[in-house]
Amino acid sequence: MLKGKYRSTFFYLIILILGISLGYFIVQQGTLFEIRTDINNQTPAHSAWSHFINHLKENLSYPLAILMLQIITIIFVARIFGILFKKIGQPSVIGEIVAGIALGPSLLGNYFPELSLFLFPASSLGNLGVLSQIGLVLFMFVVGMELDLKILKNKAQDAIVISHVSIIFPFLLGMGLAYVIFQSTAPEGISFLSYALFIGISMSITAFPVLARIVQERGMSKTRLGSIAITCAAADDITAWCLLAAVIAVVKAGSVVSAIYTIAFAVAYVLVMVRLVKPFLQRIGDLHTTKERLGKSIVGVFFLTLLISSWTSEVIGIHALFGAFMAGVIMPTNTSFRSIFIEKVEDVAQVLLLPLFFVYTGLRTQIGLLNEAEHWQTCFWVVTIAVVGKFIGSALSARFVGQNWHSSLTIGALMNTRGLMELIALNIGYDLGVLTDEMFAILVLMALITTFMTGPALDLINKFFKPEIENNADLISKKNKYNILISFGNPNSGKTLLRIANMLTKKSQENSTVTALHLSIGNELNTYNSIEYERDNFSLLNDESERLDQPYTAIFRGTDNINEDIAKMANEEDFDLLLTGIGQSVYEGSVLGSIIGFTSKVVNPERLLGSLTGKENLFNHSGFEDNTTALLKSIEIPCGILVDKGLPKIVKNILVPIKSVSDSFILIYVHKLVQNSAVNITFLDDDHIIKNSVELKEAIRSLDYAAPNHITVIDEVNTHTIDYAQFDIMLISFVAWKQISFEKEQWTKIIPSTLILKP
Amino acid sequence: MSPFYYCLLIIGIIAAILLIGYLYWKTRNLKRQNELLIRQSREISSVAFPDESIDYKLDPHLLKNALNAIQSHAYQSYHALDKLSNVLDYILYETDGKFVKLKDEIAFAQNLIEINKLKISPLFDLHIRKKISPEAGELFIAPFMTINPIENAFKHADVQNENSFISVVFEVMDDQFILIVSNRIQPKQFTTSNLGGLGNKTFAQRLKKIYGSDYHLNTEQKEGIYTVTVKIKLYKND
Repeated sequence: MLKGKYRSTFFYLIILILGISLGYFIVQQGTLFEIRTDINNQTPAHSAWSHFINHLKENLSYPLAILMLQIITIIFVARIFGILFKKIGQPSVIGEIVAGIALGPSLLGNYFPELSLFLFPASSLGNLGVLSQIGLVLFMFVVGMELDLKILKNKAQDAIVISHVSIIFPFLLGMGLAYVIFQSTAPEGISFLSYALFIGISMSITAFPVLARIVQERGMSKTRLGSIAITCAAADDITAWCLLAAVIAVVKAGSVVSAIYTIAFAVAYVLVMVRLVKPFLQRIGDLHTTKERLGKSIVGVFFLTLLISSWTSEVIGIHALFGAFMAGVIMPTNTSFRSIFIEKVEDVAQVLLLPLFFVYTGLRTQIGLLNEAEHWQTCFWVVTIAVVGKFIGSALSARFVGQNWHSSLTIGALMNTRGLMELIALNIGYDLGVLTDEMFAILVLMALITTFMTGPALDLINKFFKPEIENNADLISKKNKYNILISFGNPNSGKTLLRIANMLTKKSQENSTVTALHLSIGNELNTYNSIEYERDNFSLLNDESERLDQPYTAIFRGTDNINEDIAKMANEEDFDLLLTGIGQSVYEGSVLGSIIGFTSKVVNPERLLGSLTGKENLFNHSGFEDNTTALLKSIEIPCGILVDKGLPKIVKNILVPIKSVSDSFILIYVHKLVQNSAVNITFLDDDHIIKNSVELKEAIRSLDYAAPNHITVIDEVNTHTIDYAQFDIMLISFVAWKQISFEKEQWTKIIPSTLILKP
Repeated sequence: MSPFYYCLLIIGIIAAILLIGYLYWKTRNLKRQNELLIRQSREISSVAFPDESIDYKLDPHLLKNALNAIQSHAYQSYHALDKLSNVLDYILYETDGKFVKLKDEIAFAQNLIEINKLKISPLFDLHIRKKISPEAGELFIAPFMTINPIENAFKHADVQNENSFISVVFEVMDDQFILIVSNRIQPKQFTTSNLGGLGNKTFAQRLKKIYGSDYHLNTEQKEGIYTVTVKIKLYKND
């Protein structure tokens, strides 16, 4: 009897052989019929290989294959451009838009016409358009969901004034501009009214999503100023979209009077959505607040709402996107529900489909058409009026409602961001035939330039105007205190780091502060889930903080470059010590570990450059992940990195190996620990560093006089024979850590939790 | 039982008795000798040291501890003297009535703090933060601008208090040197206004004379914490 494993293998082989031979036999028998039916069974003139190649060519030009290839190219290029623009400090949206324009006739079509024809043949544009429209519908749905109407209800007074003034002002300016350029730029057969309304609306749009992202990236979302800007943008968004809907209705009907019906229907539709559909959805949302309970059928209901709403608005004649936006706005308001839903839709919409829209726009944008001085003159005026109208309009009205100059200008700069909302409006205009090719290109340029301006404008404003100092007293008092900054990724390590901070400052809480910082990669954040993330990440710390009676300030932010942000905060604000975890560390220090450390960041250009120029080893020998090493390089204040192997609730015994005279800075922390937590310190002096250095010896001796029976110095030992288990934590300098972990790989496995300190 | 065994038993018992007798005699001898020796030793010792409770032999540990303490103090004194010598160098050779580089003035201030450390325990909460870029260190400042606030802090700090502290912050912002010194003061000092002593007056006068309006000096007292803030415009050249 064969063993089970072999039996099944044997059976499988038998069946396989039998099956193949049977199949072969059937085919053999079947070919006998062919002679009668006179099938032309001659082998083709060309070989099988060229046959395959021909097939490949045919397949390549199938619509689906072309579409896939387009999407692949688009996503790839959009990502690259996005990253490039991030590097120069611009929101990645701009990069994606520029990528779209670059793939269009302005660049690719101009310089590589064959490639452009192959990638974007005219026949394929229909599919691309449809897909990008679907992407936009989803995206507008998300934008609608991200708008928090509650904000508007609470503190809307000023914000609504600011936002409406900042719409009316550029709108009128835009109409004036339309009056001037109507004859030269309007297409045939378009009424002046439609044209003027359209130019007006395109001047007065603000991109809420881009603005929200900029505010978040700059860490302004928690400040008063940031929330005002967000609120303004939200009000702006709703107003502008309603106006746009009206404008579309007017353009389609040709005059205001004939648009009356459309507008009346649109108003009715909005009322139905808000009064009838919203309460119904709210009830569903209240019942299903958790991820587990959000079943497929519930999700189905919401998607149906979205689609029906889009379809209705499209049929009424105010564009499907408005319907999608409305559907987003009336979604149930509880945070967790919205964040779950946003997460479901956002990635597909933003990563996969939105770049298609940018490229679709880019394919229509022919910057090459702007070949006359007159065009550029028009372009100049359009940009100027857009900026003057929006920037100055918002800034003046903000100043009028009582903001100081710094805040007013900041709001102005932020509101001037037009980003992709503008592109959506422009495409609608282009489809309606209101805009000529040239005008479309000009307005796309305007959208790009105004979005591009935002970052530098904000920097300039911050440079020349003093920001309002919120809570002045705290700033002054923080100046003269010992301030610890904890930066953590994983809440568990955050908890431990808070414990260490507490050990250092327990008895001198009046003269010290602890700040805990958690950064999260910004692109995944929106107003809803950021509240949730914050709650999740800081709940453990809050418990620990209560247990220890150790108050701390929590800071939660979205960012694109975690290390850069930590370094910026640590270096620029008044911090004396940065505590952080070791990251996704490989603290075995083994060869495999260093290879993993190396491969996890193989495309880190700085590292590669460093290894090429011989500054760095290609293999990581510090026993840290690259992230930590990179962070250490950019931090100018002392920092401590925790290798966490579990820390007891009460730390009594601490081991401090001294490996060189320069390790004496550790005494600062030893003093703090002895003073604040009355711990026992054991100095490990197996190299007789303390013994031979008068300064160190005296420093430790005077410490021993101040705190008798807390200090022990061990020499004459080998690091192998020491019983590490009796110590709760080890303090060691960064240099010594590197040296020992490089020399003795086993050592890192036996040591207790370790705080690696760098002066 | 055969007679042979009887003989053997009797011989065994006699041998045992003899052995016990011998051992008894031996121990008595030893005891006697012992007593004699003890008596002798007592006689010998009573000659040199009349009574243990009164006499004391100097324990080497005491010497060692005293030596440690003195050595430690000597080192501290040496350390402080060394810093004082640096301070004197600075006063004699580097500040001939002209402006000095900020980094030198800060080094001087740090020496001053080291000297003052003699007064306080090594565990005292002394907090120093220096945020000065290398470029800013090359800018110029009038000498001895840091003395007055630092000296005052050490003079008036409530060293005995459990949560007492001294904090010194040096920083440069937009070519402005900022020195903030704060310390906890004894409660009874609230009433007496010895905080505006002669030293402070001359310090303020000196600032005014050298910098005109390019300086800012502010002292405040809040919740038992006394804070001095000095802001001085730095010059690009002397």
